[in-house]
Amino acid sequence: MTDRAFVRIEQVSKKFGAITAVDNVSLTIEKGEFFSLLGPSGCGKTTLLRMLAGFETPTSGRIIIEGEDMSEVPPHHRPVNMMFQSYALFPHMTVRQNIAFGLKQDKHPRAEINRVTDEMLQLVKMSDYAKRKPDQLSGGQMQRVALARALVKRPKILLLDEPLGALDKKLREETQFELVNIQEELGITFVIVTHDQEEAMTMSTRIAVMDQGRIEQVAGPSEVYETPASRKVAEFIGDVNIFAGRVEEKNAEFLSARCHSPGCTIHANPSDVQVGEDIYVALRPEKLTIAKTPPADSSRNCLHGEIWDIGYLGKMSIYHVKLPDGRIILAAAQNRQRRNEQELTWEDKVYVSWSQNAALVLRD
Amino acid sequence: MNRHLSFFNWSSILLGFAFLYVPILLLVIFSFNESRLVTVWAGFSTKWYGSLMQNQGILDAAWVTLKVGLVSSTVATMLGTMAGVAMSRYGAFRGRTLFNGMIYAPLVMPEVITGLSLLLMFVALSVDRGAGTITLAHITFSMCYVAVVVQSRLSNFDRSIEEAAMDLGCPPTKTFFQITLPVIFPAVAAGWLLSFTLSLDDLVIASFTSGPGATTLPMKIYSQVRLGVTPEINAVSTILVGLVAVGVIIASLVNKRHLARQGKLV
Amino acid sequence: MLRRTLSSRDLAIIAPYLWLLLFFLAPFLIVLKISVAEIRIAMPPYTALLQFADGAFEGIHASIENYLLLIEDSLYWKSYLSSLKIAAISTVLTLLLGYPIAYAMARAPATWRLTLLMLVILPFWTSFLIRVYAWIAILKNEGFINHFLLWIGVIERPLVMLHTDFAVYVGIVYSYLPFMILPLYANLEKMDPSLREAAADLGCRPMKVFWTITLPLSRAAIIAGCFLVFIPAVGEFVIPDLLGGSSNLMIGKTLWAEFFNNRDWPLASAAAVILLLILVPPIMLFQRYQSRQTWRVG
Repeated sequence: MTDRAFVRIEQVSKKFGAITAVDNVSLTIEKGEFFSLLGPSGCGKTTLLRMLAGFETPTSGRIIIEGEDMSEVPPHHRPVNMMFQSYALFPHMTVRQNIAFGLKQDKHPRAEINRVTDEMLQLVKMSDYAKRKPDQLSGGQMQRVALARALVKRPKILLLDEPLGALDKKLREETQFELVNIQEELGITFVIVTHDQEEAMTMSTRIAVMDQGRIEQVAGPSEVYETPASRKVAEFIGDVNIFAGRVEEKNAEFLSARCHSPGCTIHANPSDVQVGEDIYVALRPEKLTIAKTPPADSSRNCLHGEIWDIGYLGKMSIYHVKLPDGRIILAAAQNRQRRNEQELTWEDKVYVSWSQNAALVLRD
Repeated sequence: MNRHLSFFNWSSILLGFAFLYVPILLLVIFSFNESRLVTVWAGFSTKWYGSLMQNQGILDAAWVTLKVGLVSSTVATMLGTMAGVAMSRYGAFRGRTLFNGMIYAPLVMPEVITGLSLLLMFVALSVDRGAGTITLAHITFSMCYVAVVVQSRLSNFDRSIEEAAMDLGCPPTKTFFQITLPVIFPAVAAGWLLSFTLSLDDLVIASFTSGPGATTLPMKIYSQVRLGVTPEINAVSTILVGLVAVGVIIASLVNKRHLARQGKLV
Repeated sequence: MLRRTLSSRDLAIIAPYLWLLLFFLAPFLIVLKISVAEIRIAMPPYTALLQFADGAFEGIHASIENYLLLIEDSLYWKSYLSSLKIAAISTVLTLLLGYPIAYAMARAPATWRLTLLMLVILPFWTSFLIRVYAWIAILKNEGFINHFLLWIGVIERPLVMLHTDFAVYVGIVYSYLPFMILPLYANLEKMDPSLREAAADLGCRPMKVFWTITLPLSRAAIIAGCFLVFIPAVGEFVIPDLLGGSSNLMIGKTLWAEFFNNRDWPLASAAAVILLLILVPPIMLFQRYQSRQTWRVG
C-alpha cells in the first residue's frame, strides 16, 4: 500500500498546554484523492490541516509526504499549498500579483511567470479583474483568486480550509462542482476541511469523520452514510433515529433485538454481535415507511404513533412522529405527487415501518 | 441608534475645542501685530516675519532642529519597529520583562530625569556634547513611541497573510519585508511623524544633552521667552503651527480617502 | 515555528535591546553613582567614585550626604509633596474636562468624528512650548483675560493669574488634555451602543445608564489617561517655570535650578533618584497594565 499512500500521518498528536487538539491520529491519503476532514467545531480537523501545511508541529508522531519525513521541513519548503478560510489575499497587491507571488518565490523567468499567471486567471475566470486589488472584489471573486494563487505552483497537495463557508447557497453549489472539475483536470490531491457534511459527501472520494481529536471513521461517502462505524458518525451525518436495545435471538437469516423505549422488536441483518449484547439500532428517516394503515406484519420493525409536526421541504416532507412513550422519531417521505397521496396531517395516527435491511446495528 | 447630540454634548465639544484653540489663535493673530505688544492690537503688519528672516540665531537653531529631527526620527523608526515586532510576536524570552519596562517607562518618565541621566552619562564617557548627543537622546525616547504604535497595529494584524506567503515559498524574513511591512506601513509612517514631532518639540532633554554651537529651536524660543515676550516668537510659532496643521490635514485627507475607497467610511 | 540558530529574528530584538540598555538603563546607574559623590569646583563637577593615587586603587569615596540634605531641607520635600499634589489635582481636572469632550466626540455622527479627532490631535502635534507660551499672553496682568474683564467692568484692578499655582493648573490641563481625550475617545468610540440601548430598553434613565454602564466600561481608558497625565506631570518643568511663581514649588523646577544654577550635580542626581523612586510604583503599574491590555487584545 505504500506506493499509493501519498501522505502518511503516523500517530500524530498535538497538545496545546493541557488541551489535546489532535489525539493519536493515523491516516493515509492517496494520490489524486479528494479527501475530506469532516467534523464539528473543535474536533481538531483544522489543527491537523495546519500540521500538514507546517504551521504547527506535532507534539508526537510524524507526517510523511511522498516518502519524505516533514518533521524538519518548514512551510516554505513543503510541496504543499493552502487555501485559507479567510482567503488571506495580500491587500497591497493586485489580483495578478497575488497569483504570481508563488512563482516569483521560485525565481522563474518573467515570461514564464506571466504565461502561467494568465492561464490561472483564465482557469478561475478572473482575467478581467487582474488589475484589481482585493478590497475591490466580492467574496466569491476573492475566493477564486485565493484558489488560483494556491494552484499556480502545481503543488502535489492542495489544502483547503473551509473553502465554501463564506458563500451563499447557490454559489456554494456552483463552486463545489468547479472545485471537483479543477481537481480532476489538474490531478492534484485535495485535502479539505469542512464542518458541512453535504459538502463533504458531494465532493469527496473519501471522508475522515473526526470528533474530539480522534478519527471516528475513514470511508467513502456512501459507506459513511449507510454503514457508519459508530453512533457519533451516524448522528453527525444526516438525520438518524437511534434506539437502544438488547440482542435476543440470532440465526442465519436475521437477528432480533428488543428495544424498551420505544417498546418494539427489531429484526436486522445478521452481524457479529452476540446474543444478550447491548446494542444500538440506527434508522435513517428516508428508510422508514409512514402510512395510516398498518403493514402486513406489525409484530416487528413497526411503531405506532401520532404526527406531532411536519417539516415541509418542497421535495420531501419530514414527519415528526410522537410515540406513546413521548419520544419523537423522524420519518421522511418524498412528495411524489403534487398533492399528498395519503394526505397526512397533524395529529393523524400513523404506522412507521421499515425493512430488515434498513436497520443498522451499532455497538456504540 | 439615536445619534443626536444633546445640548450638554454640543457645549462640551464647543467649549472644549475653544479652550484648546483660542490660545493658538491669539498667538497667530498677534504675530501680525503692528506694535511690539502681544496683547494690544495696533494694526496689521508682517514686519515680524521679516525680522524673523533676519534673525540668524533663530534660523540657525531651526536648521539644527531640522537635522536632529530627521536623523533621530528615521533611526528611531527603525529601532522602534524592531522593538514593536519583538513585543508583539516573540512570546516569552529571557529578559522580556525588562525589555517591556524599558519600552514603556520612557513614555511617562519626566524629561528632567531622562535628560539629566543622559547628560551625566555623556560626561562620564567624555563624549563631546552637541547635535550628535541630542540626536542620540531623541532616538532613545522616540523609539519607544514607535514601538508602542507598531505593536498596537500588529495586535490586530491578520497573520494568515503571512502564513499564506510562507506557504507559497517565501521564507520568514522575506515575508516580513514583502508582506508585513507594506501592510503596516501607515503605522510605521505615523510612528515616524510622531518621532519627528517629539524631536522638534523637545526642550528639556535637548537643554541637558546639548553642547556649544548646538542650539535647537525650542531652546532658542525658551531663552527669548524668559527675556520677554516679543511678536517674533509669535511669528515663529505661527509658522510652526501652520506647517504642522498642513501636515496633519494632508495626512487626515489621505486617510479619509483610503478608508472611503475601502468602503469603510459610512 | 520551527527552530533556527541565531536568526534575523534574534537580531530584531538585540538592536533595540542594546540601545535601550546603553542609553536608557545605564544612565540611571550613573545618576546613582553621582548621587553619592560630592560637589567639586572642576570639570566634571563631582568627585570620583573610585579614588586612585598614582595609578594605585585607594578606596571608594561615597557619601549619602546629598540624601540627608534632601530629607532635612524643607525646600526639597516640600517640592516633592507639592509636585504630587499639583499633578494629582491636575489629573482630576483633566479627566473632568476631557471625559465630556471624548464622550461627545464618540457620540457624534461618523463623518464628523474623524474631523473632530484631527482637531484634537492638531494641538498635540504643535509645539508644547509654544502653547504654554501662548498662555502667558492670556494670563498676565496686561493680558487678554484681564483686558476683557476690566473692559466690561467686572473688576477694577487686574487679577493676578500669571505666576501662580492657578496658572500652573491651567497650563498642565491645557497641555495634557489630548493625552486624556485620546484613550477615552478610543474606548468610548468602540463601545457597543447596544449595551446602552439594552439598559434604556430595560427602563434605565440616561444618567443612570451613564453611571452603571458607560462609566464602568470605560474604566480601563480612564486609568490609562490618568497615568499618561499624572506621571509626567509630577516631574514637569516647562509649565511651572514659565507659568508658575517663585512660591510655586515643583520638583522639576527645583532639580533644574540645582543643576544649572547651583551646578551641584551630585545633589541634583540625588534629587532625581528620589523622584525616580517615588515614580517607580506608578510607572510599573502603568507598564504592567499596558502589557495586560495588549496581551488581552492580541
